[in-house]
Order: sequence, then structure tokens, then C-alpha cells
Amino acid sequence: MAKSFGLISKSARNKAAEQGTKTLNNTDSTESSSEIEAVPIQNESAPEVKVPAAHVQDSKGSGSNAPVVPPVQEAVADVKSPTNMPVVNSVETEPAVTESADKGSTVNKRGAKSKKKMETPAPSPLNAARVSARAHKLLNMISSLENKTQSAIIDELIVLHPLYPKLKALVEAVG
Amino acid sequence: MRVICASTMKGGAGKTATTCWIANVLAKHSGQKVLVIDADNQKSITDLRQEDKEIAESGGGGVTFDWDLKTATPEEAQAIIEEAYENESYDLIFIDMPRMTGLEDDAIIALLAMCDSFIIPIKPARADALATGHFMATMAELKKIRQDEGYPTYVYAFHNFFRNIKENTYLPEFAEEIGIQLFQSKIKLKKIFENYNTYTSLLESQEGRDEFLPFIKEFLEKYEIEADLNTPTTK
Repeated sequence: MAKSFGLISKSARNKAAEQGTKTLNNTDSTESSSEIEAVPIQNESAPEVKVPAAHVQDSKGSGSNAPVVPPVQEAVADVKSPTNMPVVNSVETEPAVTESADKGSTVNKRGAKSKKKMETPAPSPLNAARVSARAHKLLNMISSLENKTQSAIIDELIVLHPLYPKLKALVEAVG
Repeated sequence: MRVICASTMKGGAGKTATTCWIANVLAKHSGQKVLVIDADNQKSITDLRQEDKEIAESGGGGVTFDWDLKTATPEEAQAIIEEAYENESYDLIFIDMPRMTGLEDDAIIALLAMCDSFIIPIKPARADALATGHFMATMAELKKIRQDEGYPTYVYAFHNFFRNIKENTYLPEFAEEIGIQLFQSKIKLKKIFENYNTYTSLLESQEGRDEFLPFIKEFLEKYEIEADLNTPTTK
């Protein structure tokens, strides 16, 4: 049986991109289990999502180098973002985690909390629309790190460290 | 012209290797003009080809590549395919797709919509199977949109990195659950995972032929691509 292959129209491609992105990131609570949990992640390109202003300001103001910020969970839950990624929830019912997320909206505690998160990289929800440019860059880099050596990864990540410019200047001054 | 991609949401499943294995064989043995578009942000095929050239040159010789390579972003890849349709410059286009991160997937999905054939490598690991399940939901959308435009779509998965481990037992069941057909053939020879390049047909050695011939035959049959694998061709 002869089948026709040809160039799909641009409009169909756009439609596919729109629908496919939604489907790919759609939250389906029926998929959640005790081990695997679908956690919403906001797609950067979705313009219709409204985020509480206080949280946006909070996120930008923190300048945190940690891509995961506690208020995200709360905001995403409110918005019911269509975007999600499957994340293994290894600490799903620990009270400490819940408490941490609840307190996360306090600006003054952000710095300490971010640092704590870095030390214990438990999977957490991430709102891509509200993380810093640095976090976006980090995420993109992480997605492309496979097959690279550990030293190559360190070489790429080190430039993101807040002290990198100072250290670089110092090394150049000394050397 | 056919546009084929090895694609899945999961990294490390063998998209790049699959692309090279099939492109090498079909470009060398089928007489078809083949283009590979390296749209993966890791640019592995581009790097491999460069290394293949350098190794050949350092040995004082050269190497003949049987397929063309273009390195492109997903947006650029769309333009390349449009041009190839217009000029009828290739018989087969393979795309090494980037993995989906959830951040810039719209361009990738638009590019996927231009493909008529999808081959999905799955490793026997639970995370791979689950990621493939999410990907298949998107594939269903693409398939419907392509169908509405009157174009057929072929989607199959194959069991890559096959090992005799207990995870193998649930993969066929899972595949059935998410509505994806698995190849009967499996790729399991460790050597071909580790030592593939951008020019050697797996059918050239007896060991490679024993491993890959059933797979490539099944590929041609499932995707309804005509190729005479018994006739090595030179370009």
C-alpha cells in the first residue's frame, strides 16, 4: 500500500508544539504513586500563568544561586500549572520537608534555606518561570552534561559560583 | 523522502548510537542518499565525525563518509528539512534529537512533527520506561495532528542495552500498557554500544552482522522502507 510522505504544514507544527508541550507536561494525579510523584514545573514559555507578585519579587530579590526555592511549591499548587516532570520523592512524608516549604516564603530566611537545600538535594518542585536566569542556565547545562567527565562538569559549573569573578580576579592578580 | 528520528525524553538511552548504526548501514548498503541532522545539544555525532576524521588523518589515510551531516538547532533543522523536501536532495533524513528538559520543548516538538518515523530506544530501567510513557502521550498528539494532515506516522520502540536482568520482564508489559510496539529484535552486543563511529556499517563484520541484521531487517519492514541490504553501494 503506497503511503504519501510529505512536508507537514507550519501551522500543524505549531499546533503540535502547543498541544505536545501541554500533553508532555500535563499533571495527571492518577499517575502518582507512593514512590513516583508528578510534580508541577512551570514551563518558561507559558505566558498565561499568574504568579503572586510577592513571590516573584521574592524570587528575583533573593539572587540565590540555588535553583530550588521553597515558595514555588505553594505558588504552583495555587496556579495548577499544566507543566510537570516526574520526580522521585524519596522523602515524601518527612515533616521537616513540609515545614521547610511552609517557611520558605519568608524573605529573611531565604539565604540560609537555600544553602541548606544545596546540601540535601532532595527532588523538589521547580517553577521555571520564577527561577533566576542563572538557575535556567544551570538547568540547561545539567541537561547537557551527560557523557562529560567530572572535571569538565566542574569547569563548566565553577563559573556559576558567586565567588568565581572575585577568585578569578585574585588568581590573575597573583599569577 | 522519509524523515526518521531516534527520540525519547530520557537521556542516555542510545539515541545517538541508534542514529549512527542505522544511518551507516542504510547509507552504505541501500543506495539511498542519507542526511543526518545533529540537533542534539550535546553535538555528539558532530564530535564523533570530527574525531573519526582526525583519527583517519593521523593514520595517514582518509575515510569515506556515506552520509552527509548537518549540525543544527531544532529550529534550523526544520528549515533544513523544508529545503530538502523542496530540492529532493535526500532519500532519508535521520535526526538525532535533543532530550526534552521541559524548558524549550516547543521547538523540539515542532521538529518531531516533521518526522514520519520514530524509533525509541528503551533501556531496561524503570526510570526509562516511565519517561517513555510520558513521551508516548506526546507522540499520540503528534500522530493525530499528522493524521489530520494526511500523513502516516510510524512509532516503535526497541530494547536497547539488553541485559539478562529482572527489569527486562516488565518492559514488554509496560510497552503494551502505554501503547507502544516493541521490536522483536534487541540490541545487546556491548561492543557496538561502545565502539560505533560515523562511517562503519555494522554489517561489514560477521559479529556485527549477526547482531544487527535482524534488527535492521525488522526496522525496514516496520517502517516500510525499501532497501536492498545485500548490495553494498559506493557513492
